Amino acid sequence: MKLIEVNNLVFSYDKKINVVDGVSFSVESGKYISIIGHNGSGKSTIAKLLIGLLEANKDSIKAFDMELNAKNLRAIRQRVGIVFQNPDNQFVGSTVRDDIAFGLENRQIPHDQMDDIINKFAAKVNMLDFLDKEPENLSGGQKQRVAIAGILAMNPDVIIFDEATSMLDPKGKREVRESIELMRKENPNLSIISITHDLEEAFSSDEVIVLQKGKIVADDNPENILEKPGIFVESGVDLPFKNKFLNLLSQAGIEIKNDESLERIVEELCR
Amino acid sequence: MTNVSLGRYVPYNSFIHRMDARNKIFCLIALMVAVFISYPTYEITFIVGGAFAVFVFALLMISHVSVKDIFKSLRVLWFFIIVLLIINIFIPPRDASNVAFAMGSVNVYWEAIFQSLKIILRLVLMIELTMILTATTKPLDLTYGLEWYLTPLKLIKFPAHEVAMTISIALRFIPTLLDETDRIMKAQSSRGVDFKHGKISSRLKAIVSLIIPLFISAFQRSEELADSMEARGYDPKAKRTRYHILRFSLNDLFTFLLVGAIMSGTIILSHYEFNLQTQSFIPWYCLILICIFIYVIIVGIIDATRRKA
Repeated sequence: MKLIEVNNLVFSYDKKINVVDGVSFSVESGKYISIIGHNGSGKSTIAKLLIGLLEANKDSIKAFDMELNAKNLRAIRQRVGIVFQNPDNQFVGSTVRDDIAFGLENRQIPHDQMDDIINKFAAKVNMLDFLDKEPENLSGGQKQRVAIAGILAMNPDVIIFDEATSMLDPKGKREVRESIELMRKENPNLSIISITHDLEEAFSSDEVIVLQKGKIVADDNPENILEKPGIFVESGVDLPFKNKFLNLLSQAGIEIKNDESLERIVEELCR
Repeated sequence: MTNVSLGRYVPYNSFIHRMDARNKIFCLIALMVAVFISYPTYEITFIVGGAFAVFVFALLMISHVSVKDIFKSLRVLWFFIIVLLIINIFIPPRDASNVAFAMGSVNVYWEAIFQSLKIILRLVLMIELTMILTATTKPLDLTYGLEWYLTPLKLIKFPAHEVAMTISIALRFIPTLLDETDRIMKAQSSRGVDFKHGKISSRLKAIVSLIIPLFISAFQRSEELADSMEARGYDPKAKRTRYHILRFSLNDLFTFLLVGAIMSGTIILSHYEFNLQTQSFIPWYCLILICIFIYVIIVGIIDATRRKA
């Protein structure tokens, strides 16, 4: 079932250069889509257009059988959540508890139900012990998990991660990735759109969209995308180290399976 | 810079923390009025001021604000204290007649010193009272409290909710922006900018190199925060439910009456012309002290019982 349909999406900040230029794709229920591309390729702009923070051209975005316009904006936002890049700039409440409650207040959830919802979703992202902590006392990864809990508590059908792990240290990245994996396991119908620079993260998704200068240059599953390394060179995206290494080995006449771990590849080479 | 105390919420479950935010705002304003009332003599000003200082210090202790934080919050006052002393010494009050000492050709009057001390005491008490409010009230509760007071203004289309939300977000972002300032200062220092030494003109230039990136960053933050709030369904015009519901308890009634009594007491006191030599002053002074001590003891007992429970 298609939840979001994007058709010939065009957007320009200055009405001269199109930052997003004729982009079309669809988001199906339960799908995990990654959008990759170099800086300025229009990835984050697409995220903002999908949530209605920027105004898209007419009839270009249809979500849940509704046109994305001022009239339907509220209804669509109730079903689409977004986690932004900077964990500090999306923490509205003075404590974790208050921050998760912020979205619930906007959704007019009755007061007596809020505590249960807050506890349930804080537990899902392993933040139950931090409910009364202030943002200054949390790490970047923890703040991002709070943002995820805040979005999950609003029970969305689609979550957009706009470079949500790019400002985090390796531990924070791992924590957020684990939370995403757990989310998908618990709710197989939840659709995820991940805008990322991290190709390892992108290749764990169901579909990868490669953007270049606002245009889609590739839209396929990760395995097929990886078979065309030229796409990455053209679009200025760096291949993951393992794939780069395997390509070099292949050029030297050494063929090793791509699904091996890095340690196994090293072992194979030593042999 | 990261551990600035003023405006920071101190999570704890004290009697003051549990008070209704609306009542705390009323108490703050009432106590500030009481602190700023003028008394006919310097003696009574300092006795009442001293009693207030003890009272406010006790409240700070109950709120679990550390002594270190109290001193840190007063650091900003040094500049004002020096300016005040200079102004009062060179432009003494009109009634100044008692010379304390002479600095060259300039006479320093007792009245000028007392006048400066009076203003400093008021400023210190004002800062500490505000600190009690911010340390014991979550910014969101403060928002609700302020919004409640501004509600009647909604009739004349005053954006009460927006103003209250803006104040709450400003309070929430104080520590974040201080961290940012610290980071920019370190980054600029590593590029050779000296914020501490040199001529005033070069220090001003150094401050500009701090302020411009800080403003740019603050604008970016506010834009991202607005996007995030909007994406989470926030609409200032729309109806919202509330996670924190303000409740006026019996404790609140008690403190409301006590603060009301303190404020009216100081107003009455300001109309009586007595000093330390006036016999009738002593019972009044004792009464004030006894009231404060009874209050502190009761609050302490309540707090201890609650903590045990």
